[in-house]
Amino acid sequence: MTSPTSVRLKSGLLRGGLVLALAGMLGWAPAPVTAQATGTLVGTVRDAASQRPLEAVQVYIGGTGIGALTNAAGRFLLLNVPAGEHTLVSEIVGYRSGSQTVTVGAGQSVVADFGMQQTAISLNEIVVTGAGVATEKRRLGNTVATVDVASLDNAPIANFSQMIAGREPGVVALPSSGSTGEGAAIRIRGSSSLSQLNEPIIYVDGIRVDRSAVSLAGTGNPSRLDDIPPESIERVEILKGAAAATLYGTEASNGVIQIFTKRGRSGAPRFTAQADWTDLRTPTNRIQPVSDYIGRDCSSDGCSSAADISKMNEYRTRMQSRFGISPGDFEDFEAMEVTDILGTGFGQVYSASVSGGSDLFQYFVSGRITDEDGVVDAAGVFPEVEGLDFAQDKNRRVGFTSNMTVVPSSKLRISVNTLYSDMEQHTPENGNSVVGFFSSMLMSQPRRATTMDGGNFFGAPAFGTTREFSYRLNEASSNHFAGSTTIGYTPTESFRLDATFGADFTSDDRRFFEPYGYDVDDFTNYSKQGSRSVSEDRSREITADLKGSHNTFITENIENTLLFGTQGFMRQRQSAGGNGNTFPGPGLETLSALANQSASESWTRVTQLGGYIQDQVGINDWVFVTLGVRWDANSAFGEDFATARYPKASISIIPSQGLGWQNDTFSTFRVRAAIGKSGLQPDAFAKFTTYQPAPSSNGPGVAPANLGNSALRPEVSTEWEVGAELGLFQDRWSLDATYWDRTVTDAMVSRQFSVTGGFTQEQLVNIGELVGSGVELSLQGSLIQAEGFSVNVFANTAYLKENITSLGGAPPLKTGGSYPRYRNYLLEGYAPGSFFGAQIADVDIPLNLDGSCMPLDRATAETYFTSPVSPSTYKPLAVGNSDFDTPNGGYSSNNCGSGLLETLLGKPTPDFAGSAGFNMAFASNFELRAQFDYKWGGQNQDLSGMFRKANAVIGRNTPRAAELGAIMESPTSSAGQRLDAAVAWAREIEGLSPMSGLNGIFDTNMIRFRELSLSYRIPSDIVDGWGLSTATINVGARNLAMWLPGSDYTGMDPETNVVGRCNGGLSCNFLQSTEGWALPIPRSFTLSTRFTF
Amino acid sequence: MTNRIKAPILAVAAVFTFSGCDLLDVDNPNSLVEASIQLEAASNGVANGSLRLVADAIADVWEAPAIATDELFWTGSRDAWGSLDRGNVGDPLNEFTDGAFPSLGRATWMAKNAVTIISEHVANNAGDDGFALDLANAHLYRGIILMVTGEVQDDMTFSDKQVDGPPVGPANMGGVIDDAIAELGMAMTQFNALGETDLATAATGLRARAHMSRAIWSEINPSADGLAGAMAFPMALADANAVLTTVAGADWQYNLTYASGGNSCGMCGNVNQRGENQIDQSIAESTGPGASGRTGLITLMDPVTGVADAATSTAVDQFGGNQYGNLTLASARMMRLIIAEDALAGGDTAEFETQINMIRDYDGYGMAFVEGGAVSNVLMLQHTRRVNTMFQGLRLQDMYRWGLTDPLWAAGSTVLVSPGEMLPITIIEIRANCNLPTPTCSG
Repeated sequence: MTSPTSVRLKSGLLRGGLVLALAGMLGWAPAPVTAQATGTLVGTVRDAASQRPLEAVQVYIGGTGIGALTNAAGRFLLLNVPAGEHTLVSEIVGYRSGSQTVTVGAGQSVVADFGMQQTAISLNEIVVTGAGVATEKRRLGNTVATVDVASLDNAPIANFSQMIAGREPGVVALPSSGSTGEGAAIRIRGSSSLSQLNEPIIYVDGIRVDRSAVSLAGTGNPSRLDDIPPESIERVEILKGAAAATLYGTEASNGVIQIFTKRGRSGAPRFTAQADWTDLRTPTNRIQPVSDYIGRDCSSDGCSSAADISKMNEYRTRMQSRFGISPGDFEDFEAMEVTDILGTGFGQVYSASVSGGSDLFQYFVSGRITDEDGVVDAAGVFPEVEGLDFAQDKNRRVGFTSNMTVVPSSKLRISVNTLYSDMEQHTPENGNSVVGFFSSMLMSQPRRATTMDGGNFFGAPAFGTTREFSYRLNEASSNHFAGSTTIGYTPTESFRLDATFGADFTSDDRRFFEPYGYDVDDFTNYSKQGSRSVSEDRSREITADLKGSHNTFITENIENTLLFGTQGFMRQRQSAGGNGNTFPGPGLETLSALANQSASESWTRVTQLGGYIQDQVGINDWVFVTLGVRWDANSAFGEDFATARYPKASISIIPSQGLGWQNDTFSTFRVRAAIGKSGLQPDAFAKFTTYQPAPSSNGPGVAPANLGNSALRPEVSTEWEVGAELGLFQDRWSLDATYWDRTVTDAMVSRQFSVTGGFTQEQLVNIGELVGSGVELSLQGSLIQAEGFSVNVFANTAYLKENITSLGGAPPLKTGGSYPRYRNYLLEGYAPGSFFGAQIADVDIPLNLDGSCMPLDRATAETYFTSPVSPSTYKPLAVGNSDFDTPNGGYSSNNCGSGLLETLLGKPTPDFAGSAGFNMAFASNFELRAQFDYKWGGQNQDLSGMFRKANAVIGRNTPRAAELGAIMESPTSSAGQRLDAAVAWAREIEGLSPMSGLNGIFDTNMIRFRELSLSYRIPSDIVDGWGLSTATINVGARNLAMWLPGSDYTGMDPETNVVGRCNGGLSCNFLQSTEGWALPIPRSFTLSTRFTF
Repeated sequence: MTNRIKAPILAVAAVFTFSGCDLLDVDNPNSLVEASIQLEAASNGVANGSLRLVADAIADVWEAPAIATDELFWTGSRDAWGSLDRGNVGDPLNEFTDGAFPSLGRATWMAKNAVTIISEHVANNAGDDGFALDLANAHLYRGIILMVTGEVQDDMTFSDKQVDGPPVGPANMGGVIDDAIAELGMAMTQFNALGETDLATAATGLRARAHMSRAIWSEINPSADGLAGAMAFPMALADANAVLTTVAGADWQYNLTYASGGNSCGMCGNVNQRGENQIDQSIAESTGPGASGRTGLITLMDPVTGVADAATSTAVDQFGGNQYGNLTLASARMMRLIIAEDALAGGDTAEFETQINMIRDYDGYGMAFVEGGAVSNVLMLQHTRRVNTMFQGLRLQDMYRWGLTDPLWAAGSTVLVSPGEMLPITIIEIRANCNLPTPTCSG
């Protein structure tokens, strides 16, 4: 058991909650005093309802300077308390202050326990991000969201991405895929850029860190943010947009996330240890079985020729030997499950930390080991082949953090923070790739399937077999180090200087390997003699941040806080790699052994220098006005542009405090408003006209690259927001509402100029305008508060509306370039990434059998189907698959009516997104917590489903496609049956080019049972006997269930997409709702134990 | 404010103020800036860059018409190839013609730019053979890409950076081949002046092809009637004969070569590796997609002997098993085909027979073709031309002029509705170029 350290705090500080909390945060710890005629106060502070011990509660005696923080067991000890009667106070953010009168006799030890009542509103919570200095939330006119990490101690959270998902309205973590190690993309208030990465910038303890993904193979791309062990995080602050992030200047218009890691506190060493074991399973209920029918690929009508009859008999024989069935001609059948290759994954996490220190020196050190072996199980299906290793889906991370704080004097404080992570990632080939292991399963054609010895166990129709692709290895080894030093100097009580210097380094070694002779089924022709590519990527981000603040009372009632600072930032990325193919023989795995080799190298650097000044005036401590401005110069700006300037203003008014608008029902009320600007810089070298290496058969050469734009400048996001917080029933309930409105001017558009002009790459130009607005609501409160039993509920929702108001005359932009299956466009007048594509005509028989685009009556249509018909031989009557608003498509005989860009099929971002849940404490030591996430009012594209339904070679293998196809092609069907099947085919199945978008984009509403956890806190009288402070056992689950109410979505999982955790660009930004061949997000069940001592 | 406060602020401001200029001046060592490629030292790199882009473009742009003909057929997952397979070559939205068009546009611009830049160096360095050779090569590459553009495109633009070029117009595309002929002529002259015999032969052979293609273009434009029979190629004869004289009896070829460390052949990789498309079943047997599906059995028979055609076998082998195949632009066989067809068109059947048999000699056929025999002259011409110009970007024009069809061509497809129509200006250019009729371009 540890002993709390008594501290003496200046009475003046204790009067102000702000300064008290600040002192606690900074670990202000003057030396203890001795006293005569004193006693001791001890006690335990608990949550009044759940009886959970509360750590880090300030317990103090007003007017004496005597106080302490509770330890992990909620215990405190106050020494040298003068004999007599005292008022003992307990305070912590998130709870109502508690107080009680105690009488201490000389030499006595008095017990004083607290049961603290939770509050749902915390205006006094201290934040730093965006404010420049530690500031109470109530003083800020803009939103600063905070994630209460302590409340998630028992949640089934394995990484940072999961930590922030669903916690705050307007902040969305997109999981992207179920591949092991996949990081989540993060979006705050939608998209503020059409061309640049829409991820927020990330700070850890004051320095910028790499926010990129380690790109591997489609999906399964780990995020750098998950390098940060969740157990080391004290709190997370989120700035949602320009109004709040102005002081961060260029690159902040997508918001800012700042992570504060845990600090040590004075006292004896305190240890925590935690172990998690997780079982992972892919939900299979939305994966349609693979179907087929014999008679699909005949060359004669009705498969009547001798060759076709022979082929059908061969298929039948094969079906008998492979599946033990003997389907009749044109009889659709379901033969196998795509999920055969998916097993049960297992993950384990072990972490530990120690913290403590003295008044002079405090420390916190933590370590974490994670290991996850995902659901892919090729070895469970295919026999081993000597010399070949199956690709694995594994992620292993080892991470350490340390924070050291030295307080050499009351005026000087020095902190040194470090983070180190070592990661190993293995991912099978996956995503929207014809050589992916999962995609090859999904494109199976059972009639082609053989026994294992036959070499095509899952019936691959093209490219290669699932077994062959299971040997394609994608691996990465990554290191990440971040280190920073912060020096705080307080020469006077009113003036403070802070300097933060730090660097963030990452190093990734990425490897792709096809072993020699991996074509074990003699099917694939991709580099059968093997291939390899390696890439060594290094990044370095350096931050230098200097700032000063001066606080003074101009009059008795007017407080002024001046903040000024300067910031320098440099990001450098280097990459070198090689690739090639054709090994001379098996066993060789190095580049140098390849017959065909090529190499590449790249280097980019961006530097930025900025300065800012801000002044905040507080009037009577309930009206706060803030004005500020930031200037930036950036190496990526064009030659014709010097500096960017971003102003801000905000106001916060607390009528409940200043005007006395308080009663038992309406306990707290605040209104606030803010406006501000921030920017987003261009790509590093987009300003230059450049030529790139282009080696030819005659020797080295050069070719056009960037067109260049010397006038390039940052795009500027101007955002205003108004909001209010209402505390009800003595703050047991709270409602937080915010309306925001954003306009991005000078938006950088990747404009395509004439491709015969030599420079075919798109060029960034500042010609666009993008607007967005939204409402964010957050409600939380206590349904029941009784001793030993409580139910707290929470719900948040964010409404988002976005529109591209101008592309500045540039042509519409499409995700995926000329790849027609991606249907997301940037088009004036529509939400970014809106879906456009073909739409079936609203007629009884939507078939364009004669190319006239005229609806046919049933009798005429039936004549077309008097003999067997393949769906490939005609097209449906559809509109919207031409870019030209001309009759009959102008250029395409397949289009019948309006142009492609006139048939809006939806938008990728939902109207509403949020989460809701509850936290129930019962039986003194149990807590049950649940969270549901939802999105509502958007559309998703089921690209893999479109392939499976419509593609003539690798698809038509869903049960419905097989059923309809068999009817149309069977000689025993009647013309009427074939026509009915053809109409159903047009309405349900037809798609892909040239009907891109048809039957593949659906209304999608989703509710996901994201988290469920039950924790049991072993009673203190038991754990005391074990020498522990606390001990907790949790069982938790993630992604337990998913519902799609009011949706017609056909895909496997609408939270997956084709881009995974990606690193920018049009497709990365706007393909987040296009599902394609990604593994569904697994259900996980976790058992964990946590001890402190 | 006290001095102890001001001092650090001023120090910090000074650091950033005085170091700022350098910190913000960031180089880009990955790429050359515009001025660098104008340097004389970059002359050879500019010429080689032109070759690279020309080779890339041809490997990209030839695949669509090859799919539409009986040279390749679709076996993969991307249905836009299937659309081309069914003869829809005129669709500007087709992802593969749309994907290849920028490659062609980039190559035509770079080829012209290379000539412009290196001409300046030659003018400033009279008598310098190095610059003269670079310029001759630049003319050669520009001639090649203009020739191929005129052969495969139904229309084209020639823009310059952000200055949109107007469409040439389908009726004027023959002029693009005329420009190619002029460029190849300059290359030929300059190579000869430098004593570069092999390159001069290449330029001569390519000019012969360009003359031939110009004649075929006139035959199939504004539309093809499919009744051409044998055509006269009077403008090509001299060059063809000159090449044959120079190479003597050799089975000479001028190829674009693709290799690791340089560029790979997109069309070759698509067919041989990915298996998205496959050599047509009328040429070679396959049991599955890609090279691994080929059985090695040639299904196209020599009409004289009735056995598997030897030239076809050679062409399939040359096309290769990976992404590094060679693409032939001119050959002794092509020269003899020009002479043979011209002779047949002129009624000189003896010369026709002679040239056809000399072509057959390259493959070691023991049995000669006899004109007026069981195999008609026109059929023999069509067969010999098919198998000896296989995968050389000429088949669709030949099918148009002779009225040949592919069984996969669908009713209503471009090739049947509008015979003679080649590849369009595609959507990426239509949207971007304000000289083209489009509702989306507003300058």
